[in-house]
Amino acid sequence: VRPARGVALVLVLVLTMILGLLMTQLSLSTRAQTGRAQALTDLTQRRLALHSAESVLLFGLLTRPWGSARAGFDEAAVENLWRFDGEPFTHNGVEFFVQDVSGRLPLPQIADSLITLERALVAMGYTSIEAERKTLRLRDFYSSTAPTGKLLGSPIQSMDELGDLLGLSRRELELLRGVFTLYPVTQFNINSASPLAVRIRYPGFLADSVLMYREREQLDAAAVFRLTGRSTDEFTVFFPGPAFEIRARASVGDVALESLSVWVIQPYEYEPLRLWERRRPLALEQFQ
Amino acid sequence: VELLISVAVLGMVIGLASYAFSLFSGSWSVVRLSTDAQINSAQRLDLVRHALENSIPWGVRDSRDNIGFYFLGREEGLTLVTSTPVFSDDSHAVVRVFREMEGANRWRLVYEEAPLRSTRLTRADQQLDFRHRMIVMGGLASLRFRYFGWASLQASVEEGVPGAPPPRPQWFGDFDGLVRQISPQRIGLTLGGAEVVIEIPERVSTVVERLRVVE
Repeated sequence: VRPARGVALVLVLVLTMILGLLMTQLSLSTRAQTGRAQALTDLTQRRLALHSAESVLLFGLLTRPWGSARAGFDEAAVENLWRFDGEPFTHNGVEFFVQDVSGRLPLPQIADSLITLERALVAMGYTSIEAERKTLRLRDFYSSTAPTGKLLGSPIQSMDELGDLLGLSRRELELLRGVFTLYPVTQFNINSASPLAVRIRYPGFLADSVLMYREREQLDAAAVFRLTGRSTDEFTVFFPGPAFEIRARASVGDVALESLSVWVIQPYEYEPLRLWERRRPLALEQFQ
Repeated sequence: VELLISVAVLGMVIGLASYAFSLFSGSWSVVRLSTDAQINSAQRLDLVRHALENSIPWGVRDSRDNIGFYFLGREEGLTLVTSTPVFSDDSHAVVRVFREMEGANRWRLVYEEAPLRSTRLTRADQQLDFRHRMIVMGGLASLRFRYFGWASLQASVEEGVPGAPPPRPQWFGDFDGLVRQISPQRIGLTLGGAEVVIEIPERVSTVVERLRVVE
């Protein structure tokens, strides 16, 4: 019996080791699989949340007056929260940035009206010579001709195309997107425009006064008359629509899912809701 | 002797347990590989869906300088311009999404991409370099495309004949943006038994007007 002493212990140890290895393998495999399943579930939930919240917002825009947010009212109703100046608000756990497109300037589409673009480039930090050089590239683009002398004639059809042409970084292009639009805006909503767009539209100290009045929520036709000495024309408005850029962001934990689309909303038309543009947004962290 | 028997029994138990575990993990691996393949396929399809959703109605001219849209849709596939291509992260691109035969009565969905980083797309007959290709999914019993939109630019603006129903957007089996001078509003993609409807941007009148302005 003496030589067999300790064998049982060895057997138990071997068995424990084998079981331990099996358990570790199972545990690692389970953790990896559940992690992947959880990631897919989170993605699906975020997507659903984003889609639902965007649909609720679009339904609100189709059926409710486009007034400003009303503090103290029912916060379950999106029309009591929304704003159209690109500042964020949260509804149903989704963060929205809604920008009235008429608060943007039309991207110059012909060669003789590039002054707003030049002003924007200067405001973004380019010297006036650099800005002029860049706008010259766009002028050449608009007026380029074929060897036969025939005008090639092609407008800018996407802001990415403009970025490539002017040699802008993604961040600079995103800044330009905040000022200009390819949507055919005919009126400028002075209340929803970004401060940069206001400064380009009203150069000099006038922009400061306009922004000051706007901050006090006193900007109306009378205020503009007091500031400029002229009545507002039909191209300056104080109400939003019909196109809205909707940027939505649904977050779960550290991960966020974003969407960006531009919708044209004309409730009394045959096609009351039209998708104008959809694109992948530059992540907020990258932009800020 | 007892020790020998106990070691033998223990060995058998461990052997049987290992065999059972290997059988279980083997069948689990098959399921897992199949699931992984499905997930990868779904992710590729998601990328293609994004590329289609983020399409740009791109105005071009044909060989006779007529204005139209760079959109060609057939039952077997489509070609369009997108702002969110799968491979080119920093530029828009022309993409082709179409079906290919894969054995008998089976189809595969194929995606091809031609970046427009240094190419100015102005003509419908321009030669493009489709340098990226991806098989999105395979083994599909049915795979076809259809398109929803106005029959033509003219139909989208006309009032209609008195007494007759006014023209309305409808589904078409093919959609040539050059001929119709308009781009569709939705793409229907039948994959196996289900149809995915993708809403795409429309900016027809603006593009046509701008192209005419620069003429």
